[in-house]
Amino acid sequence: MPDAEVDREVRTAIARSIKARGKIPTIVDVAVDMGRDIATVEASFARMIDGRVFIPKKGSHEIYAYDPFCVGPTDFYVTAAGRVWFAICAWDALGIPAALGEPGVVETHCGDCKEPIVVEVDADGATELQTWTVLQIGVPARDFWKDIYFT
Amino acid sequence: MLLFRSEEHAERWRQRAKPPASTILTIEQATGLAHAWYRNKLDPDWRRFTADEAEAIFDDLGLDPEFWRLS
Repeated sequence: MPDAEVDREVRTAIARSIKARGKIPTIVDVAVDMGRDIATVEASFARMIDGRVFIPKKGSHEIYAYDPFCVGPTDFYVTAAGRVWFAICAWDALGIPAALGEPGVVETHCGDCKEPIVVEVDADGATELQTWTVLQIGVPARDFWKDIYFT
Repeated sequence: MLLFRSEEHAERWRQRAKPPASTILTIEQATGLAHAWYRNKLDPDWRRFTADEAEAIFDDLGLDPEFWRLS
């Protein structure tokens, strides 16, 4: 089977695990789900890392963040589709309801004063306008992947 | 990429943290960006946006073109 087809199957298995189990799968999880050997799945994971499909755990091919979903725990958590999810940043946290096609509630704290911030997001990306809440990004877009763990 | 209670709070953090660059999005822009970016992520045929596609999304949301330029 061509690599592209394997990668599509692997992405489908990852998505199924996230939606059905609320879990970002390991390489072994995906291999079991697909009935494939671990080496095949790990090679697919490696290709996806090269293609910036997901962020790996440092020194590993395992998933740290299949953006917008992160293995967590982090300072950004989202309640949606009956589960609690983690995200690595505000952008991703706001994207979890969109990825699931469900409304959600994003909870974090102000990056300055640490007071709680709660944002309700519809499945279509709309939010009850909280004009006082803003998102700040400290790395220009062209440099996001230079050090994705910092970004 | 952090949320702040106001632009004033964001500015205080910027002066303290001294990031290499910074831009501020309204919550409406941020949720719009997140929705456009991730709505198809779990679809079997998902693929990364090209630079042109990504920049079109940024433009549609009225984001600062200098900060968001990819090419």
